[in-house]
Amino acid sequence: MYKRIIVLLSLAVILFTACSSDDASTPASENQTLNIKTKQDQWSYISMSSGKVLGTSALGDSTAEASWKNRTDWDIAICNGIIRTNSGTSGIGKGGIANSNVSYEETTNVSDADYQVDMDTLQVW
Amino acid sequence: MVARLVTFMSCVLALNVLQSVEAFSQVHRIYTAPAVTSEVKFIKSLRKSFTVAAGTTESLPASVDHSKTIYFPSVIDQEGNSCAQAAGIGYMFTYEMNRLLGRDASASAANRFSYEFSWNMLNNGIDQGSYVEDGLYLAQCYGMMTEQDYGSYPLSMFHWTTGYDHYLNALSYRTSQIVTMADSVPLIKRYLYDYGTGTQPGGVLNFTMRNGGWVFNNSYTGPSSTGYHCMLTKLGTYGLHVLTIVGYDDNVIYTDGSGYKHYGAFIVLNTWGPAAHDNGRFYIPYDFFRIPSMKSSLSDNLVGVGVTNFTPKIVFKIDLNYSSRKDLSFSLGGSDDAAATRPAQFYSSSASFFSNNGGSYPMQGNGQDGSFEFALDFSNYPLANGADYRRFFLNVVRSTINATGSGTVDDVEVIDYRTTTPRVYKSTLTASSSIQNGENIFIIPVGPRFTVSASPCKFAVATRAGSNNVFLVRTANARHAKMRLAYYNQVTGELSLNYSMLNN
Repeated sequence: MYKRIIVLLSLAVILFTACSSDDASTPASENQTLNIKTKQDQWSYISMSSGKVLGTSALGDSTAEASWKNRTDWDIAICNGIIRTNSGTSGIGKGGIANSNVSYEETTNVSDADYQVDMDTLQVW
Repeated sequence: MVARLVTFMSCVLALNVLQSVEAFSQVHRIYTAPAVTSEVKFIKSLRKSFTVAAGTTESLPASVDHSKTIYFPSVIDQEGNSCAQAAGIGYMFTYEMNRLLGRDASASAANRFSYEFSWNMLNNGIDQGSYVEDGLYLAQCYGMMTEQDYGSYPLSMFHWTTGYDHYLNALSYRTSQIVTMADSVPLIKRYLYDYGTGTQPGGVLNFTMRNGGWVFNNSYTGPSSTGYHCMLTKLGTYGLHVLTIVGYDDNVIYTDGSGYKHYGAFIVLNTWGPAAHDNGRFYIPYDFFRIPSMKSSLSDNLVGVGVTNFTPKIVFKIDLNYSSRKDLSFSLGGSDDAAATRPAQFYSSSASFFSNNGGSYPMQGNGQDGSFEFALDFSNYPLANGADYRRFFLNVVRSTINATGSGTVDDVEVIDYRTTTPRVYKSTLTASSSIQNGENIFIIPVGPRFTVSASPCKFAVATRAGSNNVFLVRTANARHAKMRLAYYNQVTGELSLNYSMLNN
């Protein structure tokens, strides 16, 4: 009985280790380029891990937006130059965004505290 | 007694016929050529020459008659000197738009375009002629109103109809290009059959000819595939009239005064009602376009039109009351500066047809009301920096020379159709504003279209790549990355992102 519990615990440890490998311990990826075709007044939802556009929704389509809000497979969405992250009022994910004041090449990481989450207050004119 | 009665009745009938012929000739006068203004020259310079697409080798059938298709309206009986608009808009534009949209011209007045609208937007309040291209250019810059929206009014009113929705509908129906071609029989036949692109049915064409002194054989019984019994046998020598070629028939034979046979004829539709010719139609032998001595009676070039269905995005709704419409001109502008008092530039292209036009009559026409509600399209004037509008502007200019009218601007709105539910922006006017000499600028502030959930960061798309377009992103599963906008084409929407995952 003890042996069985030890085996199960060991498996669980291995499994948790595998699951968490997506997170902080993952080494930095090389530069990636994503080419997409956007449309005026349309959100394009992007997964940075797969490098793909997962789907779109019309600006102001609250039904579609509610559906996207409950997904964790997208990281950012772009519409008319506006950036949405899977965070705060936009999504249930752990996303966020921070401005970089230097060039892309010079940009280095910042702490979690510096990332801002989405809010329901941006006016689109 | 019976014989006398029959004779008397016959005389009465004959007299009636003679009277109707006389009345017919009185109604349909000989028209003079409209002035060739610098604007007419400019519009004609926009025409695109028709050429047959490479590889179009399909042989033509013996006859084509588009006037019998569902796309073509019934025969028009034109008012006044409106032949160019009756033929160009009433027939040709109607046919081409219905062909594009697959609609039946006879099913609804909404499927027929009003030559009275175009004529009254072009005639300056005078019973005078115009060019076909004038009406087609109006449809290119502004749009074309349907018979349902325009209605029908006596010529003497020189009527401008009122109602925003009528004009909004008109904005959808546009000319995409004005086509011209030399009077070459093979080219004309190819255009009629398939536009020279293999697309059937093909188009119809307008042309101009002298109609003073023209002669018809009203009982043509020779061979034909299309069955009309009226043939033009002698060209006119004076006057000017616009007609429509709706088809051709290779089997028609015209025998001239010397007994020489000429094979083939175009089917021409006039705008003098169904009582004229053979239900408005007659044959004109091909050779009339070939024989040099006859060509002086026919225009060297024919005119066709390409059409498109346009979706307006930003439209001004203007409500005013004025007693002399020729006094006024209109122009539109926009700015991304929410505090601007005038735009960097006013645009007048779509508004020019309403400007200093229509004669010295109230806005709706001679003896009509001065109240007038109409629409002006502002869809094609995006700001150069790609920013959205924060303010729109309407400029109503009252002429400072010879202005005789007076009136007010009562309301101005801008309606934004870019969203599923159109948004309405109202002007700062709180009461009717008297129109003064010179500029009268009305401001329409724009409210936000949406309040959305988003990050506080935004790509500065106008400046493309640069440090202002570099961000640090935390993904949905809390990994960190750096990201930049490497490329963005505002016209095509093509966008390129660079990103790289970082160690947290």
